[in-house]
Amino acid sequence: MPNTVRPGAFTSRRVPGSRRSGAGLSVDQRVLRNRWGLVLMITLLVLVVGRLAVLQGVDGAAYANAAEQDRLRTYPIAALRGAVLDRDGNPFAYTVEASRVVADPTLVKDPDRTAGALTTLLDVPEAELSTKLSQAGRYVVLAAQVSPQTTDAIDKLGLPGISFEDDPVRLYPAGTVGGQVVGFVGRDGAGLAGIEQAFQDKLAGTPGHRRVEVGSGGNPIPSGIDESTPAIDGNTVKLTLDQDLQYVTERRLGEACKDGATTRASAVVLDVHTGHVVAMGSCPGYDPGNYSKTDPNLLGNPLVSDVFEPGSVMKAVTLSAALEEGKATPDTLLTVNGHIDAGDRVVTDAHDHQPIEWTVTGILAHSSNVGAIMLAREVGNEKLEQYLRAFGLGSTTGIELPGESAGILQKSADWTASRAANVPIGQGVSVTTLQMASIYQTIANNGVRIEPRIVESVTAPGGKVTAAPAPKSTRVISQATAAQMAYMLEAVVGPGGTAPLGQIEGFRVAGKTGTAQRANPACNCYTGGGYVTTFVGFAPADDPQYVVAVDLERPSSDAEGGQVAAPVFADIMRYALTADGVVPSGTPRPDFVLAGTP
Amino acid sequence: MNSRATARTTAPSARTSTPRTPRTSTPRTPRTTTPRTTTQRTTTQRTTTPRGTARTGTRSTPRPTPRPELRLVPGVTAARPRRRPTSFLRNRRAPFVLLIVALLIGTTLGLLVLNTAIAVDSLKATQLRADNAHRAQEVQRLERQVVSSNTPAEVARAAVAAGLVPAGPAAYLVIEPDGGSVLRGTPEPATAPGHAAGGN
Repeated sequence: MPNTVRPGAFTSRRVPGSRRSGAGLSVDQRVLRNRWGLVLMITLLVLVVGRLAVLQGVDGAAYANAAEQDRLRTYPIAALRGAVLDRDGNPFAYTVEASRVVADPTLVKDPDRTAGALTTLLDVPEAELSTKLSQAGRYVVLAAQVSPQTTDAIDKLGLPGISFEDDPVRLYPAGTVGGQVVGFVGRDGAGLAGIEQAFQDKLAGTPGHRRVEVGSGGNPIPSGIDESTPAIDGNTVKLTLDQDLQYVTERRLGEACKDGATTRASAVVLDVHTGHVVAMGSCPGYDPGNYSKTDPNLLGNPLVSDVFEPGSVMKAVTLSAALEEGKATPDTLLTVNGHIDAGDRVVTDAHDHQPIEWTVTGILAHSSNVGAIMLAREVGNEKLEQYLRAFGLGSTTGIELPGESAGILQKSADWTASRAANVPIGQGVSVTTLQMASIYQTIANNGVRIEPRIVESVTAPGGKVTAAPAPKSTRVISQATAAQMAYMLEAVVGPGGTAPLGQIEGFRVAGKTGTAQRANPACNCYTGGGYVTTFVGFAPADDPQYVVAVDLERPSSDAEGGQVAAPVFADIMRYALTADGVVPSGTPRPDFVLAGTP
Repeated sequence: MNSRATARTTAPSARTSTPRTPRTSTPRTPRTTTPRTTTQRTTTQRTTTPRGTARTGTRSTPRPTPRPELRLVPGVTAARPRRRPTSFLRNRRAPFVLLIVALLIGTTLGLLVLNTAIAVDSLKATQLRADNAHRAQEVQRLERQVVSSNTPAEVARAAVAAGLVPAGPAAYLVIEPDGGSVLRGTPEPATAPGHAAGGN
């Protein structure tokens, strides 16, 4: 060290001769230099301390938060979608827990080995898994809706980079049974048809989440933050359907569809006293669990959304109006010709005939178009329209199903002469199968119409049951008229009627056939459209319990409702009565007077 | 505080004359007793007691004016504190220190035990939750089994397999109000499954 430097003065380790050692500088210069050095040091200190203050004081909270976020993982907890049950609690649809198997390819050590281990468990080809596991990114879905047993097995393998997410699976154990009513959910879990769609809000529930503080390996820290907002499961919707009757109905319709001529067969069963839909189905139906492989045109519920011209079953409304208005009684005799002029055309009975003396009962039993038109003219167009609307035509029933059609009923003021002759016999007016059943429910229920409903109650996850609001019930015809109608409708199934095939052993049956020309969707005309054959009835006639409405679309056949629809009706009704333990009628069928004594 | 504030206002003379160290001590002295106390103070402060005792002494003094005579006894007061601290340290403060140390150790151990207990419970809770989820899954799996074999189609298939046939028209015995009974409906024997199969 240089000895020339004064003690206590600025010392330097540099070579004494160099300029930077300060050896050659005057005292003032050294002082200046020291001062600048000091300024430099203070500036640096201020910078460092300032930065520290900014980090700790100003941005501190944000950094602490970011650090916590880095440690906290939020896992969504999926809410279990509510079940859809039949009236006895048998599930049509319910949801079980399942998982989505996902991978973080950056954490997967050996993609090929991992793929080999997972291929059989996930039932996904090994090559596909292998490419997924080696692709870029940090998230890839390997398989969806994997059962808990499988995820447990995968968990035991301890493969790095593989994890699971909630992915509940919707099951439809009954398959096609009730499928059209229940509907289905899409890939995102939202209802897309039927009850699943109409009650989406009730069924869906509210998802929750769990926030966990995790260590570097992604495992939860035992005493760390672990807070969860539990998911609120969806409500359970209980339908009025009876799964057994639904099964029998659909099976019978399936048989009807196999007769070679029927392209669509639909049926609905109503409880007379409550308006509850006990069974509702059509063929071809679909399995909601497999909707993606079904023709999209079949993914509706034709019983509420498709309309058709009902034909002679509408005569029940015409005759109810005539009786209620006092224009006729069941025994009133009319001279009925085989044809009648109606504006620009002539309407005939099914088979043209010479003038015959028929009672009103006879007109219904023989399903005489001419007789019905004669009675409708007595009632008048305006009154007839009033009755048609009171029976629910031209407006939706308000059933809890999406896509319901109101049917088509023009105002009577707009009726042409031919339309005025067509409406009383069920042409030129369109209804849904459900509306058709509702007309007969009104007659069977002593003239009081109860809007049909299909949901009995909604149950919250806590067990609180909310009964569906009571449907509107209105008196359409008097009790006396309803009784007379029931009497006359029984004649249809009796000897001389059009539908002896609608009889059920031991029970008195009332009903009406219909064979209407079907509008050909190709040309929007009747040519080549074939027929819609229908049968609607209730039983037992002396104490009605059920209404069954059946309609078959038969584009290539001219068979009548009494031949093809009545047997389907009888089979469904027989099961409904037997399964419900309805005691057979104790009174014999009355003797009907169909024709005047010559 | 008051004494310090007053000292500052009076300071100017002292500041200019004296170096810094005495200045910090001056505020404690009241204005009135200037000449005598300066020498006394320096001696007492350096040699004898902690500040606290000195302060209380000086504070009490200014009010009665005849006290200065009593002030000459500091030699005795200085002797007293010297004896006391030694005896306290050896006899009475040791248990206190021990108590503090024991409390510290106790608290640390207690915290450790509590933390461990919490961690154990947390692990147990996680374990139980996992068990619970497992049970729930098992229940769900079994329910699923029950439901799937309880569907109408499955029951019908099982019934046919068991040799059952659909029931024909049932008959009912209805009890009349008079006690008699009436047969309603006509019972029909079901066709044997073999026959039905042959017929079909």
